[in-house]
Amino acid sequence: MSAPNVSILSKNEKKSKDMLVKLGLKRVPGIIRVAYRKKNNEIIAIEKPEVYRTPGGNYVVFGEPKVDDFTQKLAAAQEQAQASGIVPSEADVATKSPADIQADMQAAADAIESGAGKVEEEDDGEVDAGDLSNDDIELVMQQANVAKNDAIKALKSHNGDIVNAIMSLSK
Amino acid sequence: MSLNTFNAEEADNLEDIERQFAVVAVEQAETYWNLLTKIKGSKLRLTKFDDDIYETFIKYFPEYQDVERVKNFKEDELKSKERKVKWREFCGEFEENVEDYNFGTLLRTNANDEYGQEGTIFVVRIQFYAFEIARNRAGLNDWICEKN
Repeated sequence: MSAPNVSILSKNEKKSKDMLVKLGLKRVPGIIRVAYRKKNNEIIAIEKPEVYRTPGGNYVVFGEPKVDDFTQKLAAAQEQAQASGIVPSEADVATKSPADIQADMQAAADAIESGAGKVEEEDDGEVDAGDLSNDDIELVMQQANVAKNDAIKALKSHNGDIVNAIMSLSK
Repeated sequence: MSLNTFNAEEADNLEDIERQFAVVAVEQAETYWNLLTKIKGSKLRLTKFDDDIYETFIKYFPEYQDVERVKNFKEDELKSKERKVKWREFCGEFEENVEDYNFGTLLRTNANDEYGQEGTIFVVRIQFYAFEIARNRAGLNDWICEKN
């Protein structure tokens, strides 16, 4: 997917960068790509970003976000292959109209804004419940108001201790 | 959260750490109480080792097979000089397996009361488990859920 080349280095951005440096943020050199993985496995990637680190360990990322929706592409490609009986070449990419691309870009920009540019490490692969009981998992999900995977992970890291698992999630 | 994530580099002064200790104990008590309001104690499992903890508890302290003594006990039963020795042995049994086994934890001396200024004492986590598992098994905490 090729995105239109938009210059986003506005006056305001420059100003905010200066301010961030004054606040004690340090530029982290040598970062080539920052990828955000969202819940639905959508990947938003920023190539050649400028990354700053706060003394508290949070990160602020500047750059041009691009949606890299791998699963959607894969699904589209599979559909094509089934419908035509042949393996498609670039067909799935070509079906994206400019409007679609615009929409993706907007979605990506919104996501970055709402995330306040903070890097979050998210791992959304299906987590194996192991020998945890379903009742325990449900209880943790309800009490801490989290998704199943998070509940399983918390229970695992607390060796099945329900109270500790809930406490770790409600922080 | 366990204090395993504690970062010495970013630690403030000692006072704050001590306060943190109390905060965790209160949070643990609140979380446990919330659980009991949602699910009957008799259906609740606290750890993977509930059976072990209960068996060992009764092995060391057979007197607590008596439901009434689990329901309502005196602080001295845990903290008098002679009893302390026995409890220390009991605690040692779980050093390997039970997370936070020696963390400070609040425990109600009477299963019929809520956590309050009176009737709540400071124990280690494994003592909390021993009593609360025994109480839950006897259905002594079911009233908390039924109240709602």
